Amino acid sequence: MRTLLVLALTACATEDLVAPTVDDDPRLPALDINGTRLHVDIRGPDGAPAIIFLHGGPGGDFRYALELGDATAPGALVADHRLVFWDQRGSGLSRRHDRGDISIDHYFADLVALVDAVSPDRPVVLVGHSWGGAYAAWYLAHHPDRVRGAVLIDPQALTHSLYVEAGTAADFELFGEWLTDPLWQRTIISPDDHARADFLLASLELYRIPRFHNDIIAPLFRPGAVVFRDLAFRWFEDTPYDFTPGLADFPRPITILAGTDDEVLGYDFQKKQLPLFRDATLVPLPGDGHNDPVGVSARRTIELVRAYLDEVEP
Amino acid sequence: MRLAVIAICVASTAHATPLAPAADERIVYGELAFDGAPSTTIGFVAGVPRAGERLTLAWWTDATWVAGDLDIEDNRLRVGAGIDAFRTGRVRVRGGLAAASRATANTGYRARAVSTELHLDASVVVRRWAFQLETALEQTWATYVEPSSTYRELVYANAEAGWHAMTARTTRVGLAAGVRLGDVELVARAGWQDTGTIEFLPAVYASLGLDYRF
Repeated sequence: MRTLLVLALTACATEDLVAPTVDDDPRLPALDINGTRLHVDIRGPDGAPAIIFLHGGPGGDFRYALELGDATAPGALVADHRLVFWDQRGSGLSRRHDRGDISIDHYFADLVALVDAVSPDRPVVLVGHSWGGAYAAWYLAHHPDRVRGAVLIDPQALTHSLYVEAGTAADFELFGEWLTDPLWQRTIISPDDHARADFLLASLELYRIPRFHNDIIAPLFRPGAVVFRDLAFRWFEDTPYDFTPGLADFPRPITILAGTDDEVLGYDFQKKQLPLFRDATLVPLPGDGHNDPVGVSARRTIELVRAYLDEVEP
Repeated sequence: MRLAVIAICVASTAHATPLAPAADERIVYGELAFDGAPSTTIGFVAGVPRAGERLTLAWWTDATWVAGDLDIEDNRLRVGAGIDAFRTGRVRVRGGLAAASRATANTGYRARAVSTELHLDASVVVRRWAFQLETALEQTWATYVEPSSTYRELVYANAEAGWHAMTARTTRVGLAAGVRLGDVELVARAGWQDTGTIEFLPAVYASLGLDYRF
């Protein structure tokens, strides 16, 4: 009994297993918009034109893409642009939300508010990876006057039929550890609050995803379990979504970068998405898996984004 | 005697409380289950002779490990006891309590939890067949969590190893059916399993078991 009492008094909180969010740690840079508080990290000179990076997921965060902000890289983007990294609603170090506050409409409204907040007077360049690429495509289709240009890196399928065609990133193995470990762990640490659910999901994200063929496992701040479940898992699976209305009317050129090793959203798949745009160029990234362009190959990506900026910016 | 044996066999797989063997009976059982993950269980049930035929007190123990890649680091050890709360004709209501230790090791962390399981099952026996409605509540009380170096490097550097209180609660409601073939019993069970409000994996369990009495 005495041992149990000591344990009850000294036990750690499961919150200690995951990084504090902007609500837990006021020192984190944050932006309050649209009824939420976002973790935002802006790099580059004040007053410079903005490049907004949109990370993958939904449910991921921007940590894996920080190499894009490398000030020492040839053609460094942060030399003459403000590179805006932000964790999308409910994920990374941004505020956690329960189910009612996580929806695709919230996400759309967040991006509109974010662009207005960080660049109220001039259009922005969007750089979106994976889900962030589709997110960027939705924005430029609906707010073309607010976008100077866009670089989409292995963008998520822009319609549900293409999503089905792309298939899953995992090879299904009933007895594979990547599946059995997360299934088993639920009875030891159950996903009954945000911290525990995020911790469980983080341990799942440390497995190599077979068909993405990433060179390394990407670092992350904190996966958003509610976002992952309600958007990445259920919404994409169940909703006959279509991000293409208005896309072909976007008047300026865009660039799609695609890893040749990514079996799901890589170069071969992006050939199918290319005709959805009026003026898009598809650039293969030899040897890159899904996350590599914003991680281990970020320097090459920076140079390609720089070449694109030279084309679209006056 | 025969009713008791069938009831034991129905109840003796991983999710229910093995109950009420006759005074001189011993039972071994094995099970392949989808208990969260695909898993294998072997166990042993024994009646308590002094309790008598009517009381049908039994103790049991079993070991479970995750079947994926023979992952014995993901395991569970249990010991428990059960007793008839109500018994009339072919219908029995049984309660049971078990202490369990669960462990897991994955790329993110290692953990071992101490938990208790409370069972309440109602069964009916019709000739060689037995059917059971089963409920269970498993509560972890203390869990030692040790984040891996990979987790600290790639996710959260300040994650520390330590004890955590009440990290999981699992509730189960399901149905089981068993058929006796000589000394052997085949048992199938399936049901709903809830592990949390932010669950995104299937909330089900299912198993196929084989019991032998001697």
